[in-house]
Amino acid sequence: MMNDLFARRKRRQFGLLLRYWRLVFNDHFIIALFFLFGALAYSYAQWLPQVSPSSWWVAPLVVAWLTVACQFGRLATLVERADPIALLPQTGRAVGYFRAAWYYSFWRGALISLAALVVALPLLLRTQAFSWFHLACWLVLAGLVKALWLLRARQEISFKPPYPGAKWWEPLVCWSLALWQPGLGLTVGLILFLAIRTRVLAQPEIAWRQAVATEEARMESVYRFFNLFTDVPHVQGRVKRRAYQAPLIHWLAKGEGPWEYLYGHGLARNAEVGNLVARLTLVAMVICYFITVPWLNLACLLLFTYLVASQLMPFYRQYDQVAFTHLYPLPNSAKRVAFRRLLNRVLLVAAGLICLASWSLGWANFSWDQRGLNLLAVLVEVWLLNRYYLKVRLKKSEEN
Amino acid sequence: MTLTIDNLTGGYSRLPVLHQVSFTVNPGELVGLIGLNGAGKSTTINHLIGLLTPFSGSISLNGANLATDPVAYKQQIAYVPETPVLYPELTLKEHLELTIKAYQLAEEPAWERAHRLLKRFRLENKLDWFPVDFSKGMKQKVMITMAFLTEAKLFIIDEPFYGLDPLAVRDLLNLIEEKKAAGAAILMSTHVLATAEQHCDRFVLLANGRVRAAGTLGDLKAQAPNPAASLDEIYLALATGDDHHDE
Repeated sequence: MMNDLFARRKRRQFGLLLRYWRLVFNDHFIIALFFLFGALAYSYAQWLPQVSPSSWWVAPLVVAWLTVACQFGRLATLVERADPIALLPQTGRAVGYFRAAWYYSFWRGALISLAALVVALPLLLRTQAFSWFHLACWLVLAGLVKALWLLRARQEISFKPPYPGAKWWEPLVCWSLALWQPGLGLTVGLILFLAIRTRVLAQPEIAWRQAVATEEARMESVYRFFNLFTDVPHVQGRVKRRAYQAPLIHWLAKGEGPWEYLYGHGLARNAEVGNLVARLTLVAMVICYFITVPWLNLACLLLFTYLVASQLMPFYRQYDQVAFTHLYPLPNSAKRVAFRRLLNRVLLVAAGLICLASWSLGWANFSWDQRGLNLLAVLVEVWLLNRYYLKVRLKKSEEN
Repeated sequence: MTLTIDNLTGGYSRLPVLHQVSFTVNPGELVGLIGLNGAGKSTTINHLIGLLTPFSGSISLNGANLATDPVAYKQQIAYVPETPVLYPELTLKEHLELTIKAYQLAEEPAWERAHRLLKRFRLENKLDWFPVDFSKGMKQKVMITMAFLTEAKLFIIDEPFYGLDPLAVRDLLNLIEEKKAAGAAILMSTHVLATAEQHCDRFVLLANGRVRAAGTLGDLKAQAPNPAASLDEIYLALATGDDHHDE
């Protein structure tokens, strides 16, 4: 019965995640990610031949990379808040449920670890001669270390948690040994795995409160990821007063009008739109920095400036649900004027930053003519967006 | 200076909820808007604050018509909604600042009034709190403070007594009395009839989107089957027999 329960929950969870993934792939944000990964892969390929075969730092870097990669793909227990009460009579059979959860998590986690190893291999092979034996050891170890990591995660929700940092130290030690002597690393990994497995089997009790808290934290981070792309009802960014935002708010809210005041404070502190604009600008900067083909660089600059503007548009109606907004003795035009000002300010900063990154400081093949063209083009775009695009979008939004 | 609602027919979509509603609220007067769920109280209020557009009829305050001169009309009203909805990104202090800006109030006297109100509602040490930190009752107090901070000629208060503790209810009633004495008009919708009976000068009883009865407690008693009845009994006698429908 408990095994069935996990299978049922797994299916439900899969359906839910599929829905969100579909939204992620529908959004034009994914175009940005493709560009980003493409640019990163291209830069990696360009950079590899420059790495000297005698570089001392390659092994520590790969160890750190694989240790960090091991932290992704957590133990997905899918337990719920009601479980400690509802499943109390089934406590004895919970072992089967958690075993199923462990296997489910293992396959996903092992895939991430293997992918990380595949990414690191070309770099590693710059400094080490290729050998099938080494490769086999590393591939097995990637799975083994993940299995070990998940056993530690399983211990964390029992009444005898592991020593702090076990989930970091053990992968670090195993990979350090394996890059030096692959056979030794694999042996140590295997011994650790067997030892801890025996201990976990001897201590099957579940600390339910801990298990629920851990699972909720895990789901929270999953939802937060999806929230980058779409609205997830479970995630509500918490508004906080942050001292560093004061100058930003002051600048955004400049002007006497109440709408300027409201939009300025709102955008700076809003967990969704404000963050989205900031993240999009950052991603755009990274991409424009790496793309050095002049026409593509300019196209990306213009595309991202447009994306920032389009992401900001729904903010116009952000406060329509608050009755006060309709009560203020203000002409209808006050809201539009304030929003135009806000858009202008945000776009000038975002476009300015992306343009600065597009100048690809440090890239020799970029001319001042191209930089001037980029600046001019983006300024014209900001003007056009503010003058015409805003009008069209607001008209559409008011019609709805 | 009077709020005059003249033959107001209106509602949310094309189907009218209110039918030819007419009444007035005079300066220095507290009028209780009463009626069963779905009688049209909230719809009336939503029309009065400009959230809904009348199908026909007119709403004016002190000569300023809501349809033709909304800015002058809205300059004179303040509203306390039933469900507390605040701006999630603004602190209490910033809500008050925004109100001062929106109503173009003179800063210094407005802040003096604000501090008196904050003290009265025990909010003076919570100026830097965000709405998420407030309980429902506290949010309601914030909205009362925002409304009474203005120099409105008409206060529209929707179901103020739910969520407020007895001390806050007393404070609100005192505040209403003060505003009344200063010449403001107040329209309050409520189901708490015992309190309404004690404090309201006149009543407008809505049923099925129509004014079923209006006048002082004495006038209502005269229309009820039993003249010795309490407001509760009059209300039940006049309002039952009407069909419910959702607003």
